Amino acid sequence: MSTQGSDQRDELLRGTLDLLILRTLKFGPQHGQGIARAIQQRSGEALLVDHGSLYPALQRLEERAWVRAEWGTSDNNRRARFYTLTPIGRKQLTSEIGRWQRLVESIERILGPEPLRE
Amino acid sequence: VRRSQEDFAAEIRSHLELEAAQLAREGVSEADAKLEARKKFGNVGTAQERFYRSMHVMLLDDLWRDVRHSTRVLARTPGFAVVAIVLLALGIGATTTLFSAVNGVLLRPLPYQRPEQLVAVGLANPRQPHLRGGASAPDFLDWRERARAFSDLAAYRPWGFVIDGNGEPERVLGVKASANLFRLLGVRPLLGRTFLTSEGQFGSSGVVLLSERLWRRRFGGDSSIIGTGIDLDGERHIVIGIIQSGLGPSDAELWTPLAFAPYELTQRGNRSLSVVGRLQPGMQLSVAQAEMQSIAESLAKTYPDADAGWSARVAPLKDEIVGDTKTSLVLLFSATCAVLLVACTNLANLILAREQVRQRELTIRSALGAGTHRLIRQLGTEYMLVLLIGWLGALLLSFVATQFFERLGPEYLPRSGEVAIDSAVLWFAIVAMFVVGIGLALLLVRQLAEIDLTTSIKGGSGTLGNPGGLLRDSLLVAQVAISFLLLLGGTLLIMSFLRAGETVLGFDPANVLSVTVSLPTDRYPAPDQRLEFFRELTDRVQVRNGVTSVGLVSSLPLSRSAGGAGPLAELKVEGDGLQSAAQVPRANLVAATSDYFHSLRIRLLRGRLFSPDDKMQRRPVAIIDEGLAERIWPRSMSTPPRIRIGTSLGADTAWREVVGVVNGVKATSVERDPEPTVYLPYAQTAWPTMALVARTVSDPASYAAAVRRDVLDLDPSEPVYNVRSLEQVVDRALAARRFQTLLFTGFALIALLLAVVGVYGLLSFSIAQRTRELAIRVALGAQARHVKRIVIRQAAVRVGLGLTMGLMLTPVTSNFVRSFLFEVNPWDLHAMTIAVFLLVSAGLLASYVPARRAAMADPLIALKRE
Repeated sequence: MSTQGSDQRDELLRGTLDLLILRTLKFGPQHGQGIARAIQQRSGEALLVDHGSLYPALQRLEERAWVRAEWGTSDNNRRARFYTLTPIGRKQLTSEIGRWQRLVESIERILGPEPLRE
Repeated sequence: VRRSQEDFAAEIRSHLELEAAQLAREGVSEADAKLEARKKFGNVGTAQERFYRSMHVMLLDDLWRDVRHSTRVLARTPGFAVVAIVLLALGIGATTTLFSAVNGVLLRPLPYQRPEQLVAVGLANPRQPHLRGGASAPDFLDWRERARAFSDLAAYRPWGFVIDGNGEPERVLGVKASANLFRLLGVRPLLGRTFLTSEGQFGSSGVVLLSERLWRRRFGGDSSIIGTGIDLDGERHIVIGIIQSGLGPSDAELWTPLAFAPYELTQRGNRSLSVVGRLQPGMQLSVAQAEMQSIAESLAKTYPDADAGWSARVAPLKDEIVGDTKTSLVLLFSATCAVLLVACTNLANLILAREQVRQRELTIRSALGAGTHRLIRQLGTEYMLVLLIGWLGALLLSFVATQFFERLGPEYLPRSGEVAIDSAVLWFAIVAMFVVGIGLALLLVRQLAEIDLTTSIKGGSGTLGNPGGLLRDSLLVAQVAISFLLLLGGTLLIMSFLRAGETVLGFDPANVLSVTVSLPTDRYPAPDQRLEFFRELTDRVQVRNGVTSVGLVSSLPLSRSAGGAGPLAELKVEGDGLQSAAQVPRANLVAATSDYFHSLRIRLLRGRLFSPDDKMQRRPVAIIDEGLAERIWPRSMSTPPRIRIGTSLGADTAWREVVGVVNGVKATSVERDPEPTVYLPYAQTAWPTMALVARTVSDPASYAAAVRRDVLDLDPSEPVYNVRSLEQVVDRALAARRFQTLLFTGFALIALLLAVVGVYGLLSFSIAQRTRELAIRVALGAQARHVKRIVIRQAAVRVGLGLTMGLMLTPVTSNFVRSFLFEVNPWDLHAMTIAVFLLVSAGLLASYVPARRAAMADPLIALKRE
C-alpha cells in the first residue's frame, strides 16, 4: 500500500478492502483487474487499490465462501478469473455496510460538526 | 478451496495483461503500459508469497525447518543423542513391557461373560494350611443343591488322557468338566457345540471337545473331525466341538464331561474337584462366602469323618488363577519404574550439562534478536525429537519383550497367553512419554530462564561458581540412592535363589532318568497284569549297559501340585484311641519299589525297605518318612506302629505294619519342607500310572531312547511321556524363582549402569567446566594426584550422600522383597555389604577416568583454550 509522491490518493483503510470488493461485485461478476479499476473509478480516483494485496484478499474471500471464482473470458477476449458474490457474501455485505456506517457515525460524533481545518 | 500456485500465478499474469491493455487503450504506449501495469501491481513475489502462506499451514512449515535444524544440531553431538535415546528406550520400554504383563495378567478381566461374577469355591483347612482342598463329588452335589448365592456351580478335574489311532499314541493333558461348565463361563465353541446336560450322566456315551491347538496339531485343523470318533484311554469318543485354546479355567488340550460313578458318590474325602461358580446378579462375595461357610459347617456336623475341620473359601476366579503372581509382577513393575526414574534423572542431568555448555551460544543468539519464544521452540523441537525416537525405540523393545512374556507359558506366568500390547498398554506408554516430556520441559524452561546476557557472554564458564549445580547434584544423589535400593533387592533375591538351589531335597537328582507309563485299565484290568508289565519293564531297563538301578514310583519328588492334589491318606494309628477327624494325621500317599529309594539315594533311617515278600496277598506294610515318624513312631517307641490308611479309593480293612523310616523328600516345591509321606509297596497297590526311575552312570538323557524302545517293545500302543532327568525336574521347580530373580537383577544392573554413566557424565562435565580452575592449580604447583583427589572427592561426596539416602530407605526395599525371600533375612548384612561394595566400586570406576584425564591435562593448553 503506497502513497506515491504528490499523489493525493488515499491508502485504503485496513479491513475496508473486503467491503469494497463485495460492494463492487454486487453489480455482477468481475475479474480482479476490473474490481481494482471499478473501486478506483467509483471513488472518483480517490482510492488507490494496491493490486498486490487485492489478490490475497480475493483469495481470503473465496476461502470464506463469500465469493465464487471461475475462469472465463473478458470483454476484450482475454482469459481472466471472474469472481461472483455468493448468497453468504451478499448477507455479509449487508452486515459489513451496517458496521461501516456505525463506525463512520461514531467517528463523526467524535470529530464534531465543524470541519477539521485551521 | 485448494488452489495451485500456478493457477494463482496465471491470474496475476492475466491481471497484468488486462491492465496493460486498458492502459494502452487510455493512450499509453505498449511498452510503457506493460511497465506501468507491473509497477501498479507492486511486488509480484510478495503477493505470491502471501498466497503461499495462506495456502499452507505455516506452523508445519516452521516445524519441518525446526526438525531439520534439530537433526543437524543433534547429529553434531551424536553422543548425547544416542545416550538420551537409549535411556528413554530402556526406561520407558522396560516399564511398558512390565505394564503389559501387569495389564494382561492382573488388570484385564477374564475372557468370559460377566467375569466379575465368577468365583472359585474350595475348602480350606485352618489347622493344616498347606492343604487347600477342592470338593469331593458328594460335597459338590450338596453345595450345588443348597447354595443360593450362585446361579450355577461347575466342577472339573485335570485328567491325563491317551489319544490313540491317527498316529502314535500320545498322552495329553485334559480336563473332565461338568457338563454345564462352558455354559456357566459363557464360552462358545469355535466349531460344533459344548456338552449337553445329558452327557454329564454316568454311563452316557463318550463325547469330547478338542482345544484348537490339539485340533490343529494332531488333526490338521480339519473341520470334518466333528462328529467322528477318536480313541481316548481305549474308549471311543465322538468329537462334538473345538474350543479356543487357553479358554477354560485350566490349560487343557481336551475336555470330556465329568460324570460321577456310583462309588464316587460315597467318597466324601476325595477332594479332587476344582469348583467354579457364577454369583447371582448383584450378589456380594462376602454373602456367598458366609453362605458357603455355613454349608461347610453343617456338612462337617453331618459327616464328621470326612468333613470335620474343613471350611469353605470363596474367592474371585481371577485371584485364584493369578495367585502369587500378583505380588511378583508388582515387584518387577516397581523395579522397572525405579529404572525409569534413574534413566530420567540421568537424562535430566545430561540435558542440564548440555544446555549449560550451550548457554553461551543461546545467549548470543538471544542477544542477536532471537526471541525467547523462538529459542524455546527450537530447544523444544530438539528434545521432542529425542523423546519421540526414544519412545519409538521403547515401543519396539516392548513389542519384542512382550512376545517373550507371551511364550512363557502358564507354569511361569498364569494367563501369559493374554499378555499383549493392547490399547491400554499403548495408552500407558503415551502417558509415560508425556510425563517424562513434561518433566523435561519444566527443566528446560528453568534453564532458559537462567540465560543472562552479561555473565554468559563475558565468558564466565564457572571457574568456581557452579550454577545449576545443586539441582544436578541432587539428581545424581537420588539416582545413586535408587540404584542402591534396586541392587540391594537384587542381591537379596540372588541369595534366596542360591539358598533355594542348595536346599536339602532329600534325594540325589544327578544321573537319574525318569519316564512315566500309564497302563489303560481296559487292556490291563487285573492288578497282576499291571504288576507283570512293570516287572518286565524294569527287568529290561535294568540289564541295559550303564543303568545301575531301576525303581518305580507313583509320584516324583517336586512334582506334586501345590494344594494337596494327588492321593492323600488319612491315617488311623493303632492304640491311638479314637482320634477326632480333625486330628487325624494326613500324609501324601506314594507307591514305590525298594529300588526307587536306591535309585534316588533316599536313605533308610530305621527298619527295612520293602522285601520281595511284600506282595498282594501277604501282610500289608508301609514305609513312612521321618516327619511322620516323629508323630507316630518316636524313637522312644521300639515296636513299630500299625496303621490303617483311608484314601479316596477306600480304606484298609486290615492293620498295616510300618516296617521302615526313610528321610523326608520335598514333594511339592524346593521351598516347602517335606510333607508327611506314607510309601506303600508297589506290589500291594498295582496302580496303573507309574514313573520309572533309572540311575545311570552317565548323562541320563542318552538313555531316553533306549527306555522308550523297551516300553514300546512290551506294548506298542503304550505312550511314554514326561521323559526327563530328575535334574530337569529340580530345574523346573526353580524356574519361576530363577525367572523372577533374573529379571529383577537385570533391572538392578541396568540401574547400576545408569548410575555409573551418571557419575561419569557429571564428573566429566564438571571437570570441563572447571578446566581453568584446575589448570591454574596445576600451574601453581598442584601435583597430578592432588587434582585426581579433588575430582574423586567430588564423586565420593555425592556417591556417599546417595548411599546414605539409600541406606535410610532400605526398609522400603526390605518390605517389598520380604515375601520373595527364601531363608534370607531382608536385613541381611551380607547383602547390604555387597550392594554397598558394588555401588562404591562402580562410583570409583566412574570417577577414575575423568580424574585421570583432569590430572593429565596440560595447564597451558587448558588455559589457552579458554
